[in-house]
Formats: sequence, structure tokens, C-alpha cells
Amino acid sequence: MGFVQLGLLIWRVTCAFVSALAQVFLPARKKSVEGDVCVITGAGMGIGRLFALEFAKLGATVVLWDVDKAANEETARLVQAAEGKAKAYVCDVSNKNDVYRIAEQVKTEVGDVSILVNNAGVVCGKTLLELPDEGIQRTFAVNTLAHFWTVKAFLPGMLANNHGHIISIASIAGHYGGVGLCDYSASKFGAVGFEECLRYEIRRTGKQGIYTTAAYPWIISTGMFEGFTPKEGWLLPPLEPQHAVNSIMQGILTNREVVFVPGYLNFFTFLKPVLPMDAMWAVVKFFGIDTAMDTFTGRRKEE
Amino acid sequence: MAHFLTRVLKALCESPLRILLLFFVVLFRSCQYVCVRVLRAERRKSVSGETVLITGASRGIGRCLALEFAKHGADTIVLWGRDEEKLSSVKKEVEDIGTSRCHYYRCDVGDREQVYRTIQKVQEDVGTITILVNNAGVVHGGTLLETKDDKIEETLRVNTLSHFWTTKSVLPSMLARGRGHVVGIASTLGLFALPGVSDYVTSKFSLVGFYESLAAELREQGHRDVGVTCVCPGHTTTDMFKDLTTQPFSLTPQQVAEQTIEAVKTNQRRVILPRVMHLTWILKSWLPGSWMRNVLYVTGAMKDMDNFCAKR
Ligand SMILES: NC(=O)c1ccc[n+]([C@@H]2O[C@H](COP(=O)([O-])OP(=O)(O)OC[C@H]3O[C@@H](n4cnc5c(N)ncnc54)[C@H](OP(=O)(O)O)[C@@H]3O)[C@@H](O)[C@H]2O)c1
Repeated sequence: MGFVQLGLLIWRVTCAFVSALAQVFLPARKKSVEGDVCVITGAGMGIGRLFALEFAKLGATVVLWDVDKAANEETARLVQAAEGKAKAYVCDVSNKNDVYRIAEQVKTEVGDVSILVNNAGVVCGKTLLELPDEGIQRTFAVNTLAHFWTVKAFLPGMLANNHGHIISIASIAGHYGGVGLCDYSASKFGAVGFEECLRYEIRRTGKQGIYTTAAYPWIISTGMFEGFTPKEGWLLPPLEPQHAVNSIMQGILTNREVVFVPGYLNFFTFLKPVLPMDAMWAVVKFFGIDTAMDTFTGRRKEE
Repeated sequence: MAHFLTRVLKALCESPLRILLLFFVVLFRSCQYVCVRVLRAERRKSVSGETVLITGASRGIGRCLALEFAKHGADTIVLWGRDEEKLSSVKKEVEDIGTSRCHYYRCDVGDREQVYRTIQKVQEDVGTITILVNNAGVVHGGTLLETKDDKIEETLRVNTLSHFWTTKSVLPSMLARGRGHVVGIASTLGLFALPGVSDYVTSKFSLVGFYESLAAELREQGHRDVGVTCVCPGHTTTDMFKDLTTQPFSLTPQQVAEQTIEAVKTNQRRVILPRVMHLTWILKSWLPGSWMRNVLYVTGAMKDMDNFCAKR
């Protein structure tokens, strides 16, 4: 055992040394978001709420969107209690008329929006044959199409000011399909493709002041994926919400284009196109992700 | 990163055998795959005697697929599309080949209820479908801010959601009989994006995710006899992208159809056409975003869609 401990110690020291060295040479300067107006969708719960608190702490005015009025106002209250500026709007992002109408309202009541966090998401967690049709449509409306509407509502303003940042919170399921994720994975793959396109289109305009960040987090223990239990939990435990938000915030503030949480998931992106699907399946099975959805419960609807 | 490696190191000490096993399995699977592909030693199944449903079969890739399935001896071929005149001429072409019966149905796959109704009718007329080819697709073109909302919604309905409806309707009977194959025609734009067609890219990315999940699901449930194939063709010389000018690696719809049937016979889950496009996918996954953009600029791919949109 002594050797193991010693090895670990040496390893940790080396890691710390290397990362400290890297920080000396590559100081990741964080930008300021003070005075920015930041729209966050799905701000009533989970990491949406945490994003609101973080952005407010940094001096941005946060505009909170959620369908759940009470939860949304609770977030606003929390932000204000921490001496941040917040305004809550009830908005169903799956309804494009709602999005456009409330976007106008935000522009007149709060000001030009310069940060957009597309965070709202839903999951059914059933196998294809059990999925209700309405559930599939809703998943796409919220996880994919909503990104089109919000970006269409706010991007012109950002382009006009040459100042902005669009953040899309996709998921690692946007890179890998899985059991019980037919609709969710498809919608998140879509969001990933959309974000990639958007990135190209913004770069192509030549406006240097507009950034994009795509975040691909692993399961976050906010209740959305309650009951998802991979058998190799030790290697990929669900992320603590605050930890996930911190990592993503770090990426946003340093204008990173892509943020995997945890970062090493990026490694599998390298593997995917070169491993045959059977080999990839072996990896998935090893982590126990193939059966992890069997115990899925998700957010149970009250009623 | 350090945290992860620490944990891996710990795991290595705790259960070195398991991790070693994983590496061996991955290595073995990869070698197996390469050998099987190189030696062409896959288990092959035949498509003769099957009942094939092809959506968007009135022209382009869909039409070639119908003819190709007929040549390979499919028993019944069902064509879907919206243009009945074209469908009936494809039906004639299929029947001229002489081995298959052919039926066609008018069906807008963007309309869920219509899909369910038509499937019902097909099943009453010709029996259960054993091979489903989801091929119908549309493209509009235009930067995100120029694309109309209803076009975006239509693209997603026709290109993506229709695959859910058709697959949901035919899968139960396939599973019950322990035989069947679901084929989806996605696109290389489902693996990497290009500017100027964001709705199309979104819909095709979604398809890639859908078929990956479906394959995983069937596999986990132990249905090895029902196959799933996702075909990602690059630029093909059909009506769809005929306005695209600079394309070095164009395919003919005939090639796509041949390769698709080959993939069904050998039960491949992911097919990228032409094969060199696989490299682009690897590049996209390995290079940092800014490098990839340079690659696209240098190869002219960035401009492709502009020309395409301008001509529309
Ligand atoms: N061409 C390419 O470069 C290329 C590259 C990669 C992937 N693909 C994919 O390959 C597939 C076939 O493409 P293609 O080149 O053969 O295109 P195409 O020549 O334009 O044919 C499209 C087919 O889809 C049918 N269709 C369109 N909308 C429909 C709807 N709402 N309901 C029912 N049928 C509908 C059309 O039939 P009707 O007009 O009769 O309705 C037509 O038969 C598409 O999914 C496309 O995305 C094409």
C-alpha cells in the first residue's frame, strides 16, 4: 500500500506543479460581465438558478425565464437577497411567440441583452416504444427548437452592438447516444450541431465581440436525471451542481468555445470517430451506462 | 484532469485486472472489426423476400434505393412521397425489373397523423414491413437569421421527427418476428457542421443521435436480429443540393443506394460516404475549433453553402 500512496503523492505534486506552471505562462484572464444583461432560460431550478446567482454576483443584470412562475420568482428573490439585480419573466421557451414577445419586453424594460444562456431542458427517459409522441415533440421543442427562437430574438442586437456571448448548455448525451435516450440524445445532438453552425456563422460575420460557449456536462445531480445509476459510479459520479456551474462559468469568462465537464470527457470525443461502434460499446458497457437508465425516475410530476 | 487521472491511478491499483480487461476488449473489438472488414467476412443477410418501405421514393436517392432493392430481390416495395405522378413512374420502373411487387402511397411524412394512418393502410394492404428506409428529407438553406421560423420547424418535422413516427410504428412487429432492419439516411452534415444550413445540420445531427441511441437500446434489450443502420452520405448529385458548386467528392444516388444495401446486408450501424469523409469527421473531433475553421476556409467548404443559398 505504501507504494500506492507514494505514487499518488508524487503524481499529485507533479500535477499541481504542472498546472501552476501553466497558469504562469497562460494566465486565463477572466472577462468582466459587469453591466451586461444576461438572459437565462430554465432559471427556476437546478443549474439555471446557480447560473443566475453567479452572473449576478459578477455584476450582471440577470433576466430569468421559466415556465414555473413561483420557482422563478424564488430565484429572483435569492439573487436580490445576495444584492444582485434580477427580473423574472414567465416564458415557455417551446412557444416561439412567447419567446419573441417576452424578448421584446425584456429589451424595452431591461435593455439590450448581451449574454444568453440556453439552459432549459427536459427529458422523458423512456425507450423508443414507450415514449409518448407528445413527449418526443416537447423534448425537441424545448431542447432544440427553443435555441433557434432565443438566438433569433437576441443575436441581431448582439451583432448591432458587436458585443455578446451565447452559451448553450447541451449535454454529453449530445455526443453519445444511449439506452432510453432516443429523444433526449437526438435533441441534444441537434443542439450540438446547431451550436456548431452558429459558431461558424458568427465567426463569418467578422464581428470579434461575440463569443459562443458550448457546455457538455455529464449528469448533474439536480434531480433531472434522478435514478440514473451507472454501475461504475466511482469513475463518473454525477456532478455536483455548483461544481458543474463553476467549471462552465470558468469557460464562459475565458471565452472558451467548448467546455466538457468533467474535462476528460473530451478524450472520448477523440476516440469516437476512430473506434468502431462495437469497441465504443465495450467502453459504454464498462462504465455501466448501458443499463444506467433502467432505474431512472427523473423529476416526478406533482399531481 | 488531474483529479480524473488520480482516480484512474487509484482504480488501477484497486482493480488493475478490470481496466486491463477493458483495454483488451476495446483492442480486440477494433481488431476484429478491421479484420472482418478487410477480409469481407461479415455475416451477410439477404434482402430477398423482404417487404421494404422507402420514404421520399419519388426521386433522387429514394428512387435509386427502390430500384436497387428490386434488383436484390425484395418481395414487396412500398414507395412513399407526395408527388403521385413521379411515384407511379418509379413504380413502373420497379416492376420492369420484374421481381418485386410495388405499391405507392401519398404521404407527407411531416404530418404525424398522416404517417400513422398511412402505415396502418400499408400494413393492411401488404402485411408487415421488414425493412424500413427513412429517406425523405428537405433543405432550405440560408443563414440562421434569414431562415423563416416555419421552414425551421418543417425541416425538423420532415427530417427528424418523421423517423420517430415511422420507426415507432414498424418496430413492434419487427421485434415480435425477430427480423427486420431500420435504415436512416442522415448526412455527413450530421457529423460536422457547415454555416448556412443550420436547420438542416440540426436535423441531421439529431438523426445520428437517434440511430445511435436506437442501436444501443435494441442491443441492450437483446434484439440482435433487428438491425439499425445510419447512412451519412456526402454531397450527392440529386435535386436536393444541385446548386452546390464546389464539391470534390460527389456521389451518385446510385452509389449511395448500392452502399446502403451493402450496409443492410452486412448489418453495419454507421456508414459514412464517401469513405474519405471519415477523415473530415476525425479532423473535426481532434482539431481545436479555430483550426477546423481554417481547414474549412482553405478547402472552400465555408463558401459552399453561400453559393448554394445564393442560387436558391
Ligand atoms: N443530395 C445530397 O447531397 C444529400 C447528401 C446527404 C444526405 N442526403 C439525404 O438523402 C435523402 C434523400 O435526398 P435526395 O438527394 O434524394 O433528395 P431529393 O432528390 O430532393 O428527394 C427528396 C425526397 O424526399 C421526399 N420528401 C420531401 N419532403 C417530403 C415530405 N414532407 N413527405 C414525404 N416525402 C417528402 C420527396 O418526395 P416528394 O417531392 O414526392 O414529396 C423526394 O422523394 C434526404 O434525407 C437527404 O437529406 C442528401
